[in-house]
Amino acid sequence: VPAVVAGGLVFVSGQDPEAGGRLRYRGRVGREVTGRQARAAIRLATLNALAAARAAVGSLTAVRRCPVLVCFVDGEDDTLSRDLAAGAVALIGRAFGTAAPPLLWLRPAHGLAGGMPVEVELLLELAAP
Amino acid sequence: MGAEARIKQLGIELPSVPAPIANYVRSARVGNLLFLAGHGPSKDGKHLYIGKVGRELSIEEGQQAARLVGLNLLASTREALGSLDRVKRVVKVLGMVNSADGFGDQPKVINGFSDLMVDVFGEAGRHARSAVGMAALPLGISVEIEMIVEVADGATTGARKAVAPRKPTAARKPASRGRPAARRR
Repeated sequence: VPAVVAGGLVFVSGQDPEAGGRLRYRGRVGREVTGRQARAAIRLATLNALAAARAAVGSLTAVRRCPVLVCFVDGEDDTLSRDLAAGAVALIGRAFGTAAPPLLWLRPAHGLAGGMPVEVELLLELAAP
Repeated sequence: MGAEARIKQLGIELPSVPAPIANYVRSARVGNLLFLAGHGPSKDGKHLYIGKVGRELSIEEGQQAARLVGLNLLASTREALGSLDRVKRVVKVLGMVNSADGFGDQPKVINGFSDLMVDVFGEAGRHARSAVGMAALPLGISVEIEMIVEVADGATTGARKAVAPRKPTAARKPASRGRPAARRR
């Protein structure tokens, strides 16, 4: 399932850089996928993760903050990977504010579903009801 | 039907709990969430399904490995909670597949695990998940899975709360005061 709410937290499944049910980017970062494309891909995956969270809790105003952001990147250029992850952190900051930025887990992957370059997972903390 | 009854009905026998391969514990509980360590496809202390999926192992073998990891995770969950009937739901799963170059069927492989959870817990077995490829895993195993489950505030907890706190009796007091050194060692 896309997301599960438990213990005041929203666990969002790893989300793909897809739109309209179709993967928009395929291949490894720095090889088939350029840095520019990868930035767009991680942005799309992060937006999909936020959409999955919203579908689970009704509205993102119910979310206090994002304590953990996980970025899986299939690529060999560590500097570029960090740059991509920073883009995802910035997007999360725009959604929930920058006062308490997420703990970032940047995890190098070796192969992601369907050959996608990046995958984004979120842990969100709900505001007290 | 509870998870324990369903396991019996499915004819599943859980393996003995796997020994941690380094300095960590199998599970840790925070509030009503139970966090399980990354588990591998081991049975009776032997690591099975060694190699990369898409090279040494087929997708089907990867699925079997993922199912075996699931059985080990269930064993550790039962160890932590006493019974699988205390699981309210499976919350979140991270499935890591030791992948050959260009392998992109990690979700199919991890379904070997996810299908088992739905078989055992029904709807409560459906979870949030990431299934990703790794360049290497410890000991060369093909699949490693981490899991978070939610624990029900079961009847056991309620019953315990209902019991009045024990009053210290006159007989116990001098006994505990009398031998502190021996207790402390």
